[in-house]
Amino acid sequence: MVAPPPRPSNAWASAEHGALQVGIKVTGRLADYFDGTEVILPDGASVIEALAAIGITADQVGLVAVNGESVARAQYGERLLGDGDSMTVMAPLTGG
Amino acid sequence: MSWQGKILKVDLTHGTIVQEPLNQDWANDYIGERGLGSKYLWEHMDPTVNPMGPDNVLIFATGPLTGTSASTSGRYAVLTKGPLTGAIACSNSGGKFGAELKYAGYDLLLVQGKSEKPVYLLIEGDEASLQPAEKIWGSSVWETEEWIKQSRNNPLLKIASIGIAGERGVRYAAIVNDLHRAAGRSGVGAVMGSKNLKAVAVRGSVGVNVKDAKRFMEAAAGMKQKLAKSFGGMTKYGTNEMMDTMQEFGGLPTRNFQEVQFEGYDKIDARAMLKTDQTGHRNLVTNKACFGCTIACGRIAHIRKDHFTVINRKEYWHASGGLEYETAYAFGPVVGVDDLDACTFAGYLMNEHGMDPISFGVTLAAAMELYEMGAITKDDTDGVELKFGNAEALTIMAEKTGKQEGFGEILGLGSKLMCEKYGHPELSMTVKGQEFAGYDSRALQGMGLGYATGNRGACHLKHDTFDVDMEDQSGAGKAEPCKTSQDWAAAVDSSGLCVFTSGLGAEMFAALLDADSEGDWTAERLLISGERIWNLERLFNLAAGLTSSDDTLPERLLKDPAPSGTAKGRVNELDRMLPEYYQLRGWSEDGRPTTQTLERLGLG
Repeated sequence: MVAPPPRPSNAWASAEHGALQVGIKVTGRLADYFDGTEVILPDGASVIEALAAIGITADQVGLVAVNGESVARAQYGERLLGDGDSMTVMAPLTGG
Repeated sequence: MSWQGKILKVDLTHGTIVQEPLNQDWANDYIGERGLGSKYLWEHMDPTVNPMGPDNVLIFATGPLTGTSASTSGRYAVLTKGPLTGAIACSNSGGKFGAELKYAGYDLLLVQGKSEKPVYLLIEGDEASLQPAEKIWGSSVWETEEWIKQSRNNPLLKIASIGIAGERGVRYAAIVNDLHRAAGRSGVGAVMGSKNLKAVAVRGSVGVNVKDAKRFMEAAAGMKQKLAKSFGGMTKYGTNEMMDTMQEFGGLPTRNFQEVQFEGYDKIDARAMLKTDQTGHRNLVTNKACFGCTIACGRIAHIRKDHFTVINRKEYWHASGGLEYETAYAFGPVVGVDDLDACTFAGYLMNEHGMDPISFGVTLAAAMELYEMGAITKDDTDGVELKFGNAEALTIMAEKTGKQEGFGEILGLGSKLMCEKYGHPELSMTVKGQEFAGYDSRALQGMGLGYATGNRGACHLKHDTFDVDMEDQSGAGKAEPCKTSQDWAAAVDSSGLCVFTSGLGAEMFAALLDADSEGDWTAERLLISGERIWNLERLFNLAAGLTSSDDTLPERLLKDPAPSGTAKGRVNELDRMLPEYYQLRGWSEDGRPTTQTLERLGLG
């Protein structure tokens, strides 16, 4: 299999930058890329920035849900996250 | 070219075996395997016959790419009229049997009639014969394979056989090859049993030649590279990597589709299989590939020796076929069981006795709901408390059904007939009598349309709407991808390769086929061939007596909203999708292909 990329640095997520604590759950093969449970993001961060923070690109994703509600792919850059939100990043389905 | 140019016709009533030339015109129009087998079926039987009677025909078909060096080329399909549905049955399997059949020099086997006594078909090179099978009638699949190899003194035979379930007409009996790969769905094993045909054993000695070896190898190498890049997760986790995704999505059918999320999912998912416990035991032993496959999604697992299922049964201490997504779903959420070893054991029993795990699990789920509502009691269930979540009940009933003992005989009817018997047809989670795979169609709308219009009944493998279903959970815009992917899946299923390669696209398949066989294979020609195959299957079903009223879903999915998950509050929007689908297909409002459609596809 393709080796996952190096885990992204979260060094910038210090107190002076980080304003949002977002719970993260990833499913399926995406667990090879991120095995944590939360990320700290700057205020105003969107879904696409949260994905970047955990080292997953949009084209690897089947569906993102925030607080249990699905987010359309076209909205990844616009859907802003709030402190305490819970984001689920689902792997694509392949049948079988 | 890779076609051997020969088929074998076996008449079990008269005990005759005849070689005939392959009808190359049909191969050109229907590609091979599923499509070619459907055409042979259409031309050799009356679709109205009793599927369990001697006039039904049973076909084992390879594709043009079967046995070549293309990745996943071990596939073959079994075609017949299915006893579970009364519709055309097309069940596809991997392993090594399909390639071996090609190496024996045959593209297709066509079996007619019924033998007076149990027999098995032996093919060793050019020699084909019917051999007595009375000694193994009543044996499991595993015993049958061993006995045939020993009695022929040939461990290299590749064998497809039935267990007791097939012999005794379990309507979802499977044909199992290579011990744990199966043409599992739609009851093809029951048809084999009805013919008193216990097994087909094959050993080949000829190779497969392709039309343009250099071009073929280039295309095959490109394909392997793409698969290696895109299927790493499947190699590591197997198809059961989908369990936690379906859980989060809210599409995981739970307790007979009363719910869409299962609290115990993480005890039976792919990661649970990979976990080492305190005693050092890990469920997953290794992954395993079918013939020539670079994905290797197969699972080989073993059960803790102190588990209640095997503690006194050393014969099950070996490693064998492990859970895939569909088996994990069918022994897990849909029956409410979260015991990994019990689920694994139930899977062993399916392979050993030759049954479709999906249909068994969903039938058991309906029985559990009947039990919990009081429609059946311990008096019906041989004293077993048939409640959701009872892992012991799961394994007891799997064994009883496999051996056709007690309440297992009722479970062997399938969900539809069983629920009708007890006066609750609404509890049967089926389309055309075939049970659902592990995707709830309130969350996956296009999947629901694919289930409803499936030519072999509810099936998740004959179309691919996963991407659009995840992107948008309404019924809008689902008819077109459903129709198009049905046509494409028909082409892939007919090629001799695994459906997991379908994402590589029509251009890559066309390049492979064009280097493999005569004819100018293009992406466009493949897609139109797929559409032709889909419509031929539809014609078979219409001739068998099915109508548009069979293109539907259970009321539970159409009226009871999903109770949780990302699709919470939704029902399946079939009434919105189906008319659009018929129109896109070029079918009338009552679901019949129009004259223009048939003429366009060369079916007029």
